[in-house]
Amino acid sequence: MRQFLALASRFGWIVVPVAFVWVLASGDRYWQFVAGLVIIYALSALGLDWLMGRAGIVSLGNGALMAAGAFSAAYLSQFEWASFPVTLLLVTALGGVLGLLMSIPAARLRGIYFALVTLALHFIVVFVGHQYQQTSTAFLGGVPVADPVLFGYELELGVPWLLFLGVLLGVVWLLLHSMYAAHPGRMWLAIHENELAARTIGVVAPRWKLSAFVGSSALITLSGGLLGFYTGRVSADTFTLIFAIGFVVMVIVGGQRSVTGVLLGATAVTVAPLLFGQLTRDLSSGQAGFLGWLRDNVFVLNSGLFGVFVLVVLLYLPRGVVPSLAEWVRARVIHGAAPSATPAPLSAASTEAAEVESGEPPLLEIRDLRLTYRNGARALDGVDLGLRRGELLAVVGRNGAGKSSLMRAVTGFYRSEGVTLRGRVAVDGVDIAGRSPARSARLGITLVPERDKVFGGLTVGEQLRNVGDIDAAKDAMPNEWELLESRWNSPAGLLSGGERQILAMTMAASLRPRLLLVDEMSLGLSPIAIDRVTRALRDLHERTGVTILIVEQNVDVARGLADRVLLMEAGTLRPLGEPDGSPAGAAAAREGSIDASR
Amino acid sequence: MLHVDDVSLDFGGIKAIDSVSLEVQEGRCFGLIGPNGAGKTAMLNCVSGVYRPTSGAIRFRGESLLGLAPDQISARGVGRTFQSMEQFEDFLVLDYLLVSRSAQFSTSTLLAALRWPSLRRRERDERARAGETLEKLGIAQYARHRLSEVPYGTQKLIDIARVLCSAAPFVLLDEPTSGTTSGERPSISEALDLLLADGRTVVVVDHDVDFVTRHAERVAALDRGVLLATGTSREVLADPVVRRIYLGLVNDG
Repeated sequence: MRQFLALASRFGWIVVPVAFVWVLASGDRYWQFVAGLVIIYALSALGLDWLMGRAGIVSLGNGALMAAGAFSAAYLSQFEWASFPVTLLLVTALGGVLGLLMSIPAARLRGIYFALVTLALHFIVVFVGHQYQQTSTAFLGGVPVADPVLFGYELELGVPWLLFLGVLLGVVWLLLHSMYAAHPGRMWLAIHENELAARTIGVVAPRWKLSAFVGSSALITLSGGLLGFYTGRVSADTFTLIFAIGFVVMVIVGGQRSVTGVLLGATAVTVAPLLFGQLTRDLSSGQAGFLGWLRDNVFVLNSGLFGVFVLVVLLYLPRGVVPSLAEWVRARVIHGAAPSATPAPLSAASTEAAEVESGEPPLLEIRDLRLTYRNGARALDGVDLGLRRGELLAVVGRNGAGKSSLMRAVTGFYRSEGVTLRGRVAVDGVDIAGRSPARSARLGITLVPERDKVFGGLTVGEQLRNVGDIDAAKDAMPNEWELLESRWNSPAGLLSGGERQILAMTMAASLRPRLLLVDEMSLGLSPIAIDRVTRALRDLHERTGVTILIVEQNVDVARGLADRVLLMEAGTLRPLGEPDGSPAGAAAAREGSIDASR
Repeated sequence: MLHVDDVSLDFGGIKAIDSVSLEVQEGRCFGLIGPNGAGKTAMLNCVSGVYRPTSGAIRFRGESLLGLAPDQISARGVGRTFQSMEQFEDFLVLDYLLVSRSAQFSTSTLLAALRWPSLRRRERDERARAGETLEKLGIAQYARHRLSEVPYGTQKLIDIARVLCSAAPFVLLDEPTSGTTSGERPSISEALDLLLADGRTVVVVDHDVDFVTRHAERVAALDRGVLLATGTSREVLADPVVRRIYLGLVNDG
């Protein structure tokens, strides 16, 4: 199975040529024509993927560039000297020039602002097309394009055109693949990930963005020229806004940064409406009831269903169909069926201990919790934990042991994260495993996360006033209040790490939580700041009696604060040995500690 | 090699750096210590061109870096690592090592698309070289992994491997040990030693004083944007102000 998957992910692209040959051999003129359209659209979508998927520049300019390509093909083809190949070359060159022009606003504008510029470009080009259409030799239905002649043979619709387009697509695919696998691909990916950071490590971003603009625009404009020749007529009415957005959909649905994905997206976006139309075409117009209604409303239903399809993909496969599939396969091939590494012989003890000592059911009860991420990594592997009301429990362990996953399992995951959770997580007897973060927040579970714990753009005062009950916060942490007041009007983004942690804990206290979770409180803080936040958390615990679960890398901090300390290793929990006892546990903890040396 | 002269940096009225002057000698390791919010990373970002100082001068090998774009500064031989590698997590490890080798590759997109033989040979050689660097650091098994699939401490090691792989004679290390475990720290120390043994000049910013003083001959201590002391690590650690502000509340252990 694993080998099959490995092979499938390696050679999955073979589906594309097989489908091509199948349509070619079928002899069905209609589907051969559709296949040709799919290839032309795919070339355009591959151009967009170059710009958007690889270099991270979102553009709605495909309609404009294709219109420019189609109209210039129509214009050039009336001259004797402009043969079919020469026209295509000129159209491609024109696309490169247009790309050069597009890169000028892109040097100043980013993201949505640049996308809006391309939208403006779309309307300008289509307007010019309209004007040309009216003043030229146009007839109703658009400007005619001369019949393409290749090496003395007239390129006829059906097999000849399809073969030509197939070869062209193959060549483009190879060229793109060679670029992406080599130096240019790395440069574009670095810009896509973080342009500023990439520039500091030697990526000359303006230069590489320029080549992405010129190359992708040339390819898209070429596909517009091909569309003109293929349909024999160019009309500005073809290039609607929906047409332009269709290419963004192809790339996003099929999957960015995947040539196979983009081809699949182009196929789906082109063929799905036709299939649906064919399905309903057979229904006679006279039919009453549902079928009749269906027939009369095909057009509307078509776009509606299309919208639903796109929505489903965006919600459940946010990376696109093919990359999501590839990710699933990769998880199984690389991580295998992750063997449950070490059984957890000692873990059950902790829950029972909590119950026996207090005689009441724990506030938080976790039983046999197993958690697997979408990429196949298993973070928790049978965790048992019981937390008494009012207890302060610490979980220590090294990076990647599963501590943060444990926190997230209590606060909940979003559906789109694709996490598989098995086992029981109960607060006051209510099973909350698999609930969303919003629902667990309503139950009074509050998390102070490791990162992004404050809103950097709001001032200290704004955050404290707007999160919860400011008096509750003041009562819980009176000793920190002076510090917070001194920083009342400064944006939280300018606070030091320790001050942020204190602000975040105060905000949490203002919510009067039933269960407070603090993730890596001391991470990245200097010794003096660690002292301060430790004191603040102890204060909070003593004054409000709230139940607290912290995860820490710093064993000394954990020992100094908590009633009980558990050690997490390879996704399982066990009691941590006393400082001078249980050598194994203590040594492991020390090994995993980050600032134990001081 | 690097002269920072009376540099200040304002963020909307808050002074992240306040008239700081530093001098880094070629071939040496220079350490920058200080608590969170002291302005260490801000200083580093001024040198690599992310921020532009409000006033002051920064000269590298006698040439002013002010007003240069980050990639121009990098092209002059200033390399750097990052505090957190989240930003590049879609990269395969081996590919990431090659990002800072731009100067060794042709800038022609067309030749790359055509699989030009000399380019392919260069690609093969560079990949082999990057693989050797990973091997030297004992992390060759991660070469085909995505950065997001690699443990945090190893990510930091990979970032140092990238500058080791690059030709930059001058390297800024931004918090190489933050978030790593004490088990991972020796290998980061070793990587830093490799950089120095290779003749690179290194500026290391970290709040682990032991780590910094073990490698750096000269150290500067910052607090709230102000330079507290500069000198040999012994001198700086003995400075009463540094002791009070930075090490003050810590028990001697």
